[in-house]
Amino acid sequence: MKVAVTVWGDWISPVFDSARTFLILETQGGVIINRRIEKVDMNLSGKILELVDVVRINVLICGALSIEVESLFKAGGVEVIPFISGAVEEMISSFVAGSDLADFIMPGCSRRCCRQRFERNFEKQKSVGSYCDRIFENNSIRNPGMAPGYFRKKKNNNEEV
Amino acid sequence: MNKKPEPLSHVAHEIILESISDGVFTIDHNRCITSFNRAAEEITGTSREDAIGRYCWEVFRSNMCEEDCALQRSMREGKSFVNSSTRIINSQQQQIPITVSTSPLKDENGRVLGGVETFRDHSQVEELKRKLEGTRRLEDMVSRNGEMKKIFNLLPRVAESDSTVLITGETGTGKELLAAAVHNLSRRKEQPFVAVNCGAMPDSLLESELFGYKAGAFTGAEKDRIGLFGAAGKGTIFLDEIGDTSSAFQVRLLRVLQEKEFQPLGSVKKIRTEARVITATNRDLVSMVEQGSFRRDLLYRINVISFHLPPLRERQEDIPLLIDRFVSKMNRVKGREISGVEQKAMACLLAHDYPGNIRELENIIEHGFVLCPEGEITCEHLPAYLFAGTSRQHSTISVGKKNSSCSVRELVGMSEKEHILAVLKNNNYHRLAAARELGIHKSTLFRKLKKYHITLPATDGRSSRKGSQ
Repeated sequence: MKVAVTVWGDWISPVFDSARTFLILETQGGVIINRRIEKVDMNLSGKILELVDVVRINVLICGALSIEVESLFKAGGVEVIPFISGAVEEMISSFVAGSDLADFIMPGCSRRCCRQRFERNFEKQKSVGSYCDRIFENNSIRNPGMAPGYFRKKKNNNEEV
Repeated sequence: MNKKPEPLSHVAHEIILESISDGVFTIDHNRCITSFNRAAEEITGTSREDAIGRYCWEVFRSNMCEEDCALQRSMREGKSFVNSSTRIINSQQQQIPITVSTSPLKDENGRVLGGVETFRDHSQVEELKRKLEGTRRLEDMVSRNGEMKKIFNLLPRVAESDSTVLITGETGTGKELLAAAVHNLSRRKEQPFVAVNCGAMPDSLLESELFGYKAGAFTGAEKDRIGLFGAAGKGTIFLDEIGDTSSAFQVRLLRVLQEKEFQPLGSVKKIRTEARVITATNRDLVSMVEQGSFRRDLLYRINVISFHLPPLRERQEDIPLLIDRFVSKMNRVKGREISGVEQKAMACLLAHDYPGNIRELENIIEHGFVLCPEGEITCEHLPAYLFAGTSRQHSTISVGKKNSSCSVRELVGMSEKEHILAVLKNNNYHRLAAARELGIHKSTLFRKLKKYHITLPATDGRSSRKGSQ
């Protein structure tokens, strides 16, 4: 599976539109088998085409993303995980391990983005296997919405619901 | 002698900050937010509790955060910057145009302690400007419909290609909107987008409008005029109602498309054009070619890439989404707070045919907006013709008919059933995909299928996918 992450130094880029550097990961069985940096200094449609048609990513992890741009990626069959922030390497480790990414959600976004995604998660996370493999198994990668078990609801005191 | 007034207390300063409509926040040297006023909460959609202590770029989410942060510059250079324009993305995934002013925060010794940023929401101003200029945004195109999603999938490629595009569809389906979306996604985004309705004027006027003229070319031509092809420059020219043009004009247009040159009326010199051409029509050009009323060679030239926009009656699932957009837009333009459309009115709107498509829906919502003083738009605020029994003839919903036995619950139920059926059909009766598109859990979908006695075909999206594996 190919994952693109918008990066800004050691951090996840705050806004997709202004992001120019992408970390492209290839994963298999919960392990990163290849990683490289791609500079994509193009206008918006050029960026989308490069990622969808040329690099052929399966998942995009990025910072803030408008709903219109998200729908263009989804129409291209890409699973989109927006409003993620924080240190890139930490987030990647959690993602590849299939862990909850709730700690990396941008402030103020948990109510809308993650609840909607949580409501679209139809099955509990399976006990084994990485997040990446589950996307393939459920074939949800070409469908809009999140793979199962992506976010868990958290109470205000950060206890899991 | 007048006593000097006491300086305002910290509490008074807080009250002032909370009462203004501009967002204000402060950061420390680590770019962590140290204060965040009420207006900042409203504009960004992030609460103070969530914002304080977080990096400013995680909360503010502006296009200039990465490379051209005005606040960083203020702190570094020790000076203020006023009225920089940018956009932020709020927690509702909406792009908000803002202007930003920044200043360093200094102590009594002049040492920079951090920075302060004030920002103003310019959504209303931009909306009014767009209304005046007639411009469109990519954000104006919204849809959950399968056919529209195919168009969205192709949009970036088509935008990058620079090829001529032909957009077909009934009146009011959004042809100009789609043309503007192609332009706004392309490299020509910063160049002009010029739209002209070819069906609205006679040939002679159309030619002079498009190609311009020299002074003295005809009576009334007192000075040179550049024409719309010239005005488009390296941008995009959108020729609407291309099917309504005469054969003579079609010949002229074909020559311009072939040679990339045009000749203003009364001039012997040809001018090169780099404008991209997008055309649109609500007519069947292929039939017109067969009848001899449209040139075949011109059709080939303009039909390099074509999009067909479905009528609104085939995109029922988009009606609530479009209504939401129109209400938000009108709230912004008119500075009101209409909360939406109440359930019974929504059922009426879902039951209508929309021969005028999206334009008609927008007019209906505007009608309701004007009549609705506050709260939700109800049936009383909608145009009377919606209740005159002129809806789809195949529908069993009889809105407003005197002898109808449909209760409101049945009315809403029928509309929901039709909506569910439309979404299932779009997803090839794949239950999981349909539930996702409807934004509901699959068990909720199953309950609704049972409730409305909807039987799914034996062969559905799941079966065909398994077969293809």
